[in-house]
Amino acid sequence: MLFRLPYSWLKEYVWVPKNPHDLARQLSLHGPSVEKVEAVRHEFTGVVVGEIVSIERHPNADKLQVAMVRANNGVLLRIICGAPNIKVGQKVPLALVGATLPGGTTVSRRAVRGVMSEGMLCSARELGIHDDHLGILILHPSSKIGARLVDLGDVKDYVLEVEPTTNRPDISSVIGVAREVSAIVGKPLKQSGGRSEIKKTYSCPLTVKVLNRKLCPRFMAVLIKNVSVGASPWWMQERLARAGIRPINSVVDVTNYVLLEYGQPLHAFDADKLGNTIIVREAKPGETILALDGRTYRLKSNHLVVADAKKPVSIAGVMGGETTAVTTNTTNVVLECANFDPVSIRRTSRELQLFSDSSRLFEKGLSKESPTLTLSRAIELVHKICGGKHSSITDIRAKRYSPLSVELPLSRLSRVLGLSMPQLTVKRLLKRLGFRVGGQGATLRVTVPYWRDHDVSAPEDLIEEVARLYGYHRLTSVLPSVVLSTKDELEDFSTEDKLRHSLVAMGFVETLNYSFIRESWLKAMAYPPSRALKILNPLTNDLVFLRPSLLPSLAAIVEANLAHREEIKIFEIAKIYLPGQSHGRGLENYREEPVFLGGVMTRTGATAEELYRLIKGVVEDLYHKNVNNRADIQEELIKSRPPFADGLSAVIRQTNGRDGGVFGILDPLFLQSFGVNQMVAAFELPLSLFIGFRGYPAYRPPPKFPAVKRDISLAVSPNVRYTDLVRIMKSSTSLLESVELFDIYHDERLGDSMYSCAMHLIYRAPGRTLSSEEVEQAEAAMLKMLKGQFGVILR
Amino acid sequence: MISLEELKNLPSEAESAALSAKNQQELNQIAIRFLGRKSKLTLFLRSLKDLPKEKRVEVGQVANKVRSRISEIFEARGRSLAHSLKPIDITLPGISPRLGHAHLISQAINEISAIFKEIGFKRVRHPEVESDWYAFEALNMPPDHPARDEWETFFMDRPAKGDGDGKRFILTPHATSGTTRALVARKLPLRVINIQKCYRRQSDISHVPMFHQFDGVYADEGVTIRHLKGVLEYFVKSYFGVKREVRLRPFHFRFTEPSFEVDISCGVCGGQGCRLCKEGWVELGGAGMLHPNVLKAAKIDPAKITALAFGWGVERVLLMRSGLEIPDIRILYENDLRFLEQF
Ligand SMILES: [Zn+2]
Repeated sequence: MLFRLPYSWLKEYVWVPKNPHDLARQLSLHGPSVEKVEAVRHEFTGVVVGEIVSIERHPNADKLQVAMVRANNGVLLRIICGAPNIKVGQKVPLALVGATLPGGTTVSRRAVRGVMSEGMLCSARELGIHDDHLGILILHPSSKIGARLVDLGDVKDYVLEVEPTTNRPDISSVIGVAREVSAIVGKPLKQSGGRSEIKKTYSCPLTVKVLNRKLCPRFMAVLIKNVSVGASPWWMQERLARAGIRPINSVVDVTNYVLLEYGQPLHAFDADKLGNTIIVREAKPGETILALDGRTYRLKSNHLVVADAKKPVSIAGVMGGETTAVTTNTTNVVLECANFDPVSIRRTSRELQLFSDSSRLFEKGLSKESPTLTLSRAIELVHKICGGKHSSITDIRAKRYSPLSVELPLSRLSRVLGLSMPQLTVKRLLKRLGFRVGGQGATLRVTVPYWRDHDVSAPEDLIEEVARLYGYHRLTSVLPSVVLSTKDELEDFSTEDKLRHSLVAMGFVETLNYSFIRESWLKAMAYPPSRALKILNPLTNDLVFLRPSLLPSLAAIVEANLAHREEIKIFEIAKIYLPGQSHGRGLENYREEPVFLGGVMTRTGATAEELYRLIKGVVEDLYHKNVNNRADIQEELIKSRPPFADGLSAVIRQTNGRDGGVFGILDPLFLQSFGVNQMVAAFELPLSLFIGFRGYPAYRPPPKFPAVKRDISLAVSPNVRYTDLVRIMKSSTSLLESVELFDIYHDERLGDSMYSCAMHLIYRAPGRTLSSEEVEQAEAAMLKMLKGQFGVILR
Repeated sequence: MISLEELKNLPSEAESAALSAKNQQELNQIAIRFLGRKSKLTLFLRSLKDLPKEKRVEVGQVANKVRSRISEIFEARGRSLAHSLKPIDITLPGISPRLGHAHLISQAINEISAIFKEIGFKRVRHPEVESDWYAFEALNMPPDHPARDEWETFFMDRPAKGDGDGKRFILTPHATSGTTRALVARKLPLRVINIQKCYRRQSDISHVPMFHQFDGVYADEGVTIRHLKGVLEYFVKSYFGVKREVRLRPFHFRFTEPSFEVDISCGVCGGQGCRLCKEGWVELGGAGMLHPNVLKAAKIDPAKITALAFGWGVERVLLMRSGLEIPDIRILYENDLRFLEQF
């Protein structure tokens, strides 16, 4: 939660360097991070405090008024003004003739509908202080007539954007940052206002009942009578505006000002609308409240409220109610300064979707001690700005406060820092942060100041305090010595890497897809959604199920890229997610997350047979390169393995009989559901297929004697499998070294019952050069066998 | 008539003339100049008959040698012209063997794991569908702790049954859940790095619902903040370049104490401060010394063992290093081939 802190305000509480960037650097290194230092200044000149002496209607225009305004030395100026909110006796910003305003306008004497205007009255927006432009900015009655507006505050200032960490809500305040600065630069805090005991004037007439002291461990209230609520002083409006808070009226402004100063929320009620009874209780089911944001909230019984005798007047710690709000008509106010349970505030705020500066602070946990000083500071400021008489303070506590004490063994400090720090240094650093330190030996006894009672409770917390204040940049770095070990080495990553390299070398492009897919993608591959792992709170309807296959994601990529590609070759190496095989028996059986290698390829115009052979070639190359470069993969025709097409796909049978993944042609219906209307081949293989193979096959010397190469063309029946054809050919002669298929074509002259198959045959004999007679004999025998077995004819 | 001296120079003149010929036709014309009826050589040979006999034989032998030498020169040049190649426009485009492309994130993961391997961090693999015990509880974030809200966590629709009764399953929002697993499952000293997919319910120009983190842990006796600084500096200088500086800023995480934000000096302005950095520094990610409660949850004695830990986004370091200037992180996951094929 970013906190905007005017530099001049900080300066009231602690010494600061002249250059705020220096402080920002120091703070970032030792304390809260300063995100930005912004220079701010008023962009107007020639604006003074004027007092409205009389107001008349403009003779020639219904919507204009003619005001006589007293300025320097009692001079009366006639000013034409269109804003309806001015009244006689008000102090207002008066731009004299010659004044310049933000945006560059210069005020001049000019006639407005026949009446001369000798200057202008300004709205907050015209002065650039904040956004209000509905009326003239009204100044506090104490403003001195004729004083230059810029002299009432800080014409120039800086704003630090401080980002306190979530465990330090105490830093979201002027004094909180001042404490950090004081500790870092080693200068004491300046005392400023609100420290003196508030003198009791009359006894508090309020009856306060806290019905749930767990959710409201402390509640302080005070009545202030006869206040005059109006505009707060220029300096206060200026600071609030620079801190990002819009000024409302003097009482509300005081509560906001003190909130920024002390980091402790307060709330002000109109005492006459509230009555004398305050009850802090859980809401009754169905109770509603119109909050200050203008919306009505329906409350539940776990929401804490502050109520009058009958109804809620505020959602405790979150937002006040509209009916008891302080307005300029208010004459008596009740100030509340309390502590609420962080978990309850957080839950209420979330359930109502209502967040405020107050709720954001309370939900992080504030000290039950901080209301004391905060409330007296608020009373002081109300007095100063609005007058009035306050009652005694009603203070209800769940428990007496006793400060927390933590033991810090110095050995633990040096164990974490890697250096031993003198006891005196440790004490000095802790004291600067407000800790009280006792103990002389190897263990210090440290008392935690109240504003840290939510984040410091153990020695480690103190070690961090000492270390950061000392400065991490002062610790020299050391590289840990390396202990090499091959124990527990996972082969996954190097195997993935080899496969990735192989596929990239084959021209495949690696893609990276979300692990979650939509239900229709499961249905497209006939995967029952009930068997997929499902997300309870998906981000969108596309991202509901964890994918049990990589192929739907890849198919979607094909669709997205076909518009600009003739050929697509893509792959992904990623986990798939399956419910545990022994579902329901123990934590680790909840799911399985095997890594798979998936790839698809397509080429516009290619036939299924071509694509099948291309993808099979990829799988074979991967297998030969990464598993076994001698053995052929053992493929088996598979059916019913969506999204692969029946009869056009194969499963790899591993030597141990296990399923080693699938490759082949994707089912056109599956592809259609992605909008792909052409043939696509794919593979999906488990990473485990490739794990565990190291080393090389035995060396084979290159042949010394020449081969005889012959081409043949055979007419084959479609019922004969290629693999059987080759098996018979090889079994017929030992001279046939290898067979390479180079063409398959369907010849009309052969009809449907046969197709033509053209091959390169390589004959070789070990230890001698083959004669052509030998080869012809062998080939004749082979053809005879082929004809006998399969009816194959030489063409 | 030329002198004997001039005669002996004729072969070298012929050689340079022959080389100047660009084709056979030009060569023929040059050959005529040297060997034709009106050539200096022919005229010289004709004049021989006027010499006394002894001299004629001697000079004649020289002249004939010159003539056969010149003939050889023209024949050789003729042969070389016949075989000569046509020049090539060397600006013609190459024909690509069509290498594929590894994804940018894979490339980054490979580099990152290689750097940490050098300093003894072994890469490990952990589940992504994780129980909230590993992701939160063991990391000092008990159920209902507000810190859990900082992660926009995805929950699985079914709770665990049997031994895991009551445990909620989630998609892990940070690779630190792997750190807990490593602490629980492995023996000390432990020095591992877990690079994995993580998930959070967010999607905008700087967030994706699935992203990658690398999370390292080193637990042993005597591990200190100074070691943490050493490891972080080693990574930053290896990955971003030796000129980049590292600083640790105090921060807060539930599972480390002390906790840091790690900043590196801005690569654009060199640390002077510019539009793209904060006062000369850019934020890299979090780090710290593991909280004693985390060690205790893994049944490790925090009185003996200390541990450093760090966890950063792969996408973040990738985008911070390079000149990629990718305006929207989601582009990394769109799988447009026109994007993927650029790297
Ligand atoms: Zn920069």
